[in-house]
Amino acid sequence: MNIINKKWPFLSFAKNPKKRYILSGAGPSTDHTLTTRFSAVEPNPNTKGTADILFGFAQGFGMTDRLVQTISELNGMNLKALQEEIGKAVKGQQTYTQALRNVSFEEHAKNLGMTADKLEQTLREKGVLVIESASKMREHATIAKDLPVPTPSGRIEIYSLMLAGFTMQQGYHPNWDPGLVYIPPQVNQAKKPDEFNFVYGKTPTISYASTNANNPILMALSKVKEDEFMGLWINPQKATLLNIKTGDTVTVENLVSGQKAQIKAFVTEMVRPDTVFMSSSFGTENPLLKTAAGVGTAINKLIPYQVEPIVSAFRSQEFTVRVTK
Amino acid sequence: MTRYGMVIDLRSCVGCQACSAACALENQTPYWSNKWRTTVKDIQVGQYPNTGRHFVPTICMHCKEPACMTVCPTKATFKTDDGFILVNYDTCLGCKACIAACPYGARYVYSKEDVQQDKEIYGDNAQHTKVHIDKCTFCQDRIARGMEPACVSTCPTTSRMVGDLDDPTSAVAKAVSSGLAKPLRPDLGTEPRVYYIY
Repeated sequence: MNIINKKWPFLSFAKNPKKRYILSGAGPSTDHTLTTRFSAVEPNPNTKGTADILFGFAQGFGMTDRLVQTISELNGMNLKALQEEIGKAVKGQQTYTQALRNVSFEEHAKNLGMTADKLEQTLREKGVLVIESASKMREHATIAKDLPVPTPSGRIEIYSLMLAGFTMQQGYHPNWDPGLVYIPPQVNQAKKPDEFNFVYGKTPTISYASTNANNPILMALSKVKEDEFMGLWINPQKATLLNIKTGDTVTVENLVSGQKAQIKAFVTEMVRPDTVFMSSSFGTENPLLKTAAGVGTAINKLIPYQVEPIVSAFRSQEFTVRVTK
Repeated sequence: MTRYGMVIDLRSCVGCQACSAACALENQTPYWSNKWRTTVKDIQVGQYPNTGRHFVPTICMHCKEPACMTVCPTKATFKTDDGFILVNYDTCLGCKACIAACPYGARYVYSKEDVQQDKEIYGDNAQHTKVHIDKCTFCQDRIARGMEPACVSTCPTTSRMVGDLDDPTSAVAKAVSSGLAKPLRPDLGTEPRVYYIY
């Protein structure tokens, strides 16, 4: 820890009790609002905020200035203010998380005609600061509010100027067709009896294997419903055909990548006959996660590294699997 | 005297089990032995594509006529003036007669191993120092502080409500008096104080 602290001096400021987190809107509310988070407990001193981790990388690559500039361009934060606050973080006077937070508070406060301290106090007391209600905003800020739909022609347009820009720069590709075309998933459309579409989701007790699977109470609750939460859901029609019962260990094979994993079956009417489902909440192999390690099956045993080129999302269900007992 | 009751709305319960987790943390129930004061049963119905799931949280019903109390040989199970059914850990023998008598499966043994584990996890803050039969207390200490039971306050869909059954303006009293909320197995004559909307 001491060695790490010498290398990354900003770590020592993780204990700042006045820590503010980045400001954001109020979730699904369409009102113009500001809300934020305040730390309820002191963070573990062996942990770092995301911004500090990213700046650690940038520092290692000698790209701190470039990252500051990028943040300014993407977030619209004042570059000079950002450089000043990040400069303090570089000197170890505060964390990078705190630096970004300070700039965010200062800028929002300035726009609202108040001080950053006053803004913080307001958010601490009220939780949410409603700057303007959605109905009020509609009165003056709706784009082309007198048109039937807010497009340049006033009619429904299925054409993306942004994607047209990609086409001009990069050439045509179905992924950025300005007219939005259907791209069929890369799966075998004529499936054999033991071949299934693959879908996954989360359990109510554990959302992420890497974060809260190690919570002993949540893991204990998950084990109560182990069949359902950690198993491969398969419809009874297909299960009968394949002689699979709940609790049987089955092998699931990705028919595109060839990846294989073993998992216990959960026979249920809650899944389509042509599809199998499993949770993404389990199967971590990190030995430091003592409660979670080795419990259940990890979906990344089955999902190959396929990234969608526009939004960088995993094409995590574009394959079929074979299930065998 | 407040006559506390609980109403659980099965129409909005999503089966997240946050109630079980909150209860385990609040009351140090032995989750390590798969023992819980409140659980959520998961019932699947129908055949694909007309299928569905029902989630049924269970808990001690704090019955007006508690079978568990009748059979207790040492009177360790007793009823408070408020009508809560509690266990005196000092006089409980752990004979399990109450477990057999309870028609709702609301009790379990807090064993010697569980007491040791409780001490290991919670140290000086361990709540359970003796072997006993354990059950829901309706979070007596929280109620005394003007708070809701942990399972109620944590429920993200407000499926659990608690209030005075004798106060006609309370949400629970309205749900019960209107017939919307009903007890489980009324035929047993136990007169539960936990009601379900389904």
